[in-house]
Parts: sequence; C-alpha cells; structure tokens
Amino acid sequence: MSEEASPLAGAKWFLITVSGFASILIAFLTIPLLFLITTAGSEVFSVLTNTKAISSVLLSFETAVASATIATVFGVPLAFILSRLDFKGKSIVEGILDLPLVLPHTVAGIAVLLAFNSRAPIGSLMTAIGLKVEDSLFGVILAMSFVSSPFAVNFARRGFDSVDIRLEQVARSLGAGPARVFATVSLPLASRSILIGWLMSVARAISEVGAVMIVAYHPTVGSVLVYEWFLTRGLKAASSLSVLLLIASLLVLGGVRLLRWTK
Amino acid sequence: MIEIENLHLKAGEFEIKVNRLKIRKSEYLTLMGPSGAGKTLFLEAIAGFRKILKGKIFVEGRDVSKLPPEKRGLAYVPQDYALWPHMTVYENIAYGIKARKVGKNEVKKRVLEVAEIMGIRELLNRMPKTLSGGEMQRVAVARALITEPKAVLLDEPLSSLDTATKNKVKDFMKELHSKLKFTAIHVTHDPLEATELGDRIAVMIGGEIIQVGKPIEVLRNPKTIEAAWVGGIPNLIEGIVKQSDGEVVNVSVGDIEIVIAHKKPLMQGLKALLMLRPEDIVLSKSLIKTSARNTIKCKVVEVEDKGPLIHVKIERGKLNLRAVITRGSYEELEIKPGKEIYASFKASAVRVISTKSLK
Repeated sequence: MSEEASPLAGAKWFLITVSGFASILIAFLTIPLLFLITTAGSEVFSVLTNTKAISSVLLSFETAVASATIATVFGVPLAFILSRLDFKGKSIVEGILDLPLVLPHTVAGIAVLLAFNSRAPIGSLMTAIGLKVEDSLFGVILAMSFVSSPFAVNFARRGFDSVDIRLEQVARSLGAGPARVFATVSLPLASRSILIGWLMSVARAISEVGAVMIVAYHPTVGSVLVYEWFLTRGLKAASSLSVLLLIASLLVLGGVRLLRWTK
Repeated sequence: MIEIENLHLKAGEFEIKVNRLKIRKSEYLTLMGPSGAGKTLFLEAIAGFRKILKGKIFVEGRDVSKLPPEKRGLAYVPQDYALWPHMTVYENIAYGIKARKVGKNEVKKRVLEVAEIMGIRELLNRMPKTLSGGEMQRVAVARALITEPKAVLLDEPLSSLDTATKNKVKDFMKELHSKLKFTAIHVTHDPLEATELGDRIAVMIGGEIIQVGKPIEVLRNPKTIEAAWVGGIPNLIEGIVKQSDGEVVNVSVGDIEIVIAHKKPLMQGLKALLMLRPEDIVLSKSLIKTSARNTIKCKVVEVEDKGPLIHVKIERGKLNLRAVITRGSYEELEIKPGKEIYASFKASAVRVISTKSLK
C-alpha cells in the first residue's frame, strides 16, 4: 500500500517536538473536563431529579434555540449583503460583528441593559408591547442573541461566499428575479453553512453567563444556575449541574460535526 | 438580432469600447480574442451583469441596456456551465420556464422536448455532479434554449472539454444551430473553434473589436497583425521589395527571394511585412513539381509535437518559418533537427501586412 507523500517525511525529531507541544494543549483542554465528570460522579443522577436544575437546563435550550433563530433570521440577509456587495463602511459593519466576540460578556450585558431597559427610549416602546427586558424570558433571549449573532452571520456568510456567483447569474439571465434567485439558488446552496451557524449560535447561547446574568438573572438558565450553585452550594454541586450542560453542548457540537461529515 | 452601439465600460483600469456590432437573427457569431482581450467582460455587459458607462444594447430593436438581466430575454451559458448542483438535470432545464410561470404540464412537455433534441432524456433524473463534461455542456445549452431566448451567450463553452469531446460537441452545436437557428454569441480564444462554428467571427483585442467578417475573410485577410496573431501563430516575414510586375511582387529576404501576389504594385525598395500561415507551407524531401511559386531549401531547426499536428521550425538564412504538418507526413519525411528539407508555398498564400519606405 502506498502512502501519500508527506512534507514531513524524515523529520522525526521535529515531529516529536511539535507533537509534544500539541499534546500539552490537548491535555490542558480535556483534563479539566475529566475532573468535572469524575467530581460530579453519581451526583449527576441526583441532579436529574432536581426540578430546578432540569427546568433551568431546558430553559437554556429553549432560549438558546429562540435567540439563535432570531440571530439567523436577521443574520442571513446581512451575511448575503456582506458576501455579495462592496460598499463604503463594509469594514465597519464587519468590525461591529466582531465586537460581541471580544467584549467582556458582563460589559455586553450592561450595554444591552442600558439600551433596552424599560426606562430607555427603545426599551420603553418594547415594554409597551409586552417585551420587557429586565428579568424576563425576552431579556434572556436578547442577551443571548447579542453574543451569538456573530456566529450566525459569519457562518452564513461563509456559505454564501462558497456559492459561485455564476450560478446566480445564470438564473437571472434565464428570467428569475433577484428574490427568486436568492430563494431557489443562493439560500439552498448556503443552507448547510447557515444551519451550522445556527447550531453554533445555539451552543454559544447555552454557554453564555455574563450578559444573561446582568440583563435577566431570572428566569434562571442552566449556566447562571451553575454559577449560583457554585456560590451557594459549592464546587461539587456546581460540577454535577455542569456535567448536564456539558452534555447539552456536546450534543450541539455533535450536530455540527454530523453536518460537516455528511457534506 | 442584437445591435451594440458605442458601448463603453470599465473594469478597473481595463476598458471596453465597441463602436458597432450587429449580430443578425439566427446568426452564430464567434467572438475570438486572446486571453485578457475583454471577451467575457463584453459578454457579461450584454447579459446585464456589468454596468456600462455609455452606449446602447438593442435586442430585437428594444434598448435593453438599462434592464436587469432577467428582463433582457437572453440566455447566458458560462464557461463551467454553472449547473445548479442541488437540482436534478430536469429541474435545471425547467428552471427558466418555471420562472416564467408556465404551467406544470407545459413545463414537463417542454423539458422532454428539449431533452429529446439534445439527446439527454436519460439524464433527466441525474444530479449534475454525476455528468461528464460533454453531458454538462448539453444540459447547459438545453437549459438556455428552453427559454427561447432572443440570443444565447456562450462564454468559452468548450474550453473545459478534452479534445475528443470538444470535436463531438462542435459537430453537435453546428447541427443544433442549423436545426434550431438560434442567435448566438460564442466567446472563444481558439481560432479553430471560431472558424468551425462561426457564421462570422468578431476579433476582439484590448477591449476593442478590430475586425468582423466571415471566418475565411478574417483568417486569410487579417486587418492588423494582432488579428493575424489571434488567428493562429502565423509566420511574419520582413523583406525588401525587389521588383513589382502587375500582381506579382518579388521580395528579398536576406539572400533569398520570394514571390508574392499583391493586387497593387509595390514600390521597389519598400520594406514589407509579410504574413504566411503555417498550414500553407508544404514540406517535401526533394524538389517536387508544384504549382507553388516558392520552393526553398531549408534546414529543420526544431520539431514540436502537438498531438495530431506537428509544428516544424525551419530556417534558411534570415528566413525563419514555422510549418504545420500531419503526423503521417512527419513520419514519412523523417523530419528531425538538422535535416535539409524543401518548403513550398503559393505566392497567393503570402499576405502583405504593411509596407514602409526604407530609410
């Protein structure tokens, strides 16, 4: 059996060195998770009967799905614009999209709260139609959307970037208007990336603590409850709930992997 | 019918300027030019994908220059065919008429009709990625023709095919065109393709159309050196007019003299730039009886194997020529570098590109 030619053929010592560094990082990432699982141990099962814990994890899922969906609905058009058009200020828009990724999440939370609280101009209008932000389900979703929307936009954009514009041009020349071309050619061809972006947004939203805690501590989502248990009940209790959230995150990541494999 | 008037567009620093080009109804026009001549840009402008700065594009009398692509009534076939990978062949072909809100039964009827003509009925349920290059080309053309466009715009539609498939597709396109009489603009950099398919050839160089005419006119009487170069790689010969007698002119190239046919007499002593197409040169082992006025004993300098055709570089003093011969005659003549050989060509095969006084 022949092997593919490798650029590292005969570089034994170099390979050993590089692999050494790589292994240390992998260990650094996995060892804490192993400790988490072993510390939690059988406690995980007792968490399963704790209604507060279960409902908080379920709430995490629901709000994450809702926020990722909102981020995707508004993010896909933005992604399409960024992929297809060059305009003045495009790099500013791209910069704005990077902000939630680099901002401390508590800062993001404070910003969202300042802008949309029920006494602020926009917030008061939203409160008037029943969308109050402070300590509400809507507040949780809003905070999650703020931090997870860059994922939805960036993955969707990657999807649109990978669609050859010739495919759209041919459709136009054969009589389809821009909206029809978007719906029948661009969107279906970018759908896998959009779906991956949606899943990544869900994962990101589940993991959010800082922004959610500041905007809407209640109703308490899983990640916030872990923090609360850590403060009030200690490391072991917090770890058992953490394992549940870890499983939830792994499920979402599994979905992403599956989408990439089946391509 | 398509008419282009004073078209001007820019892509970065590159400019396209086409004063006038008319493509008659049912005409197959090949737009030929080297890479980077602006052929694709020009086609994209006609299709409506590029903003033009100035000028008008008429499609059957209607000015479409400000209309979006979907309202121009043209059908674009890009280089790699751009079949939609998420649709079956059937869905690909049906797309254009579905967009025109044609009823479901009518769509089916017409797709089957076109598929029949194109010989792709058995492919209708396949996905594009399972098709061969030649099959993809047929599907792309079917997808364009089903909309009954005012013209089909084909951008290098044969360039991604292997030689054998290319020849088959060329024959098929010719047959199809004579049957359906659609109007077409076919962009290509291949002079052979342009000649074989085009009712007329338009030569584009540097963003301008420098010559339009029947293939034979363009290839035999290129208006400029650039047009000549586009039509294959011709031999360019510099010589000095020795004698001019009626339509026969003797030109000296170093120590040899060649005879050319030229309608107007040329003044003695003029410096002349001549062109001779490689395929007009006949090579032979010994002096043969021929109607060609020129037979020159040369030495083979280089032999280039280009598949079925062999390019042979020969020289005699200042005269350097390139001849194209078939593999058969190559083997028969036992050509190899250093060998002495006779090159014959007709006086009428030599064209005078330009003359200037020697000072």
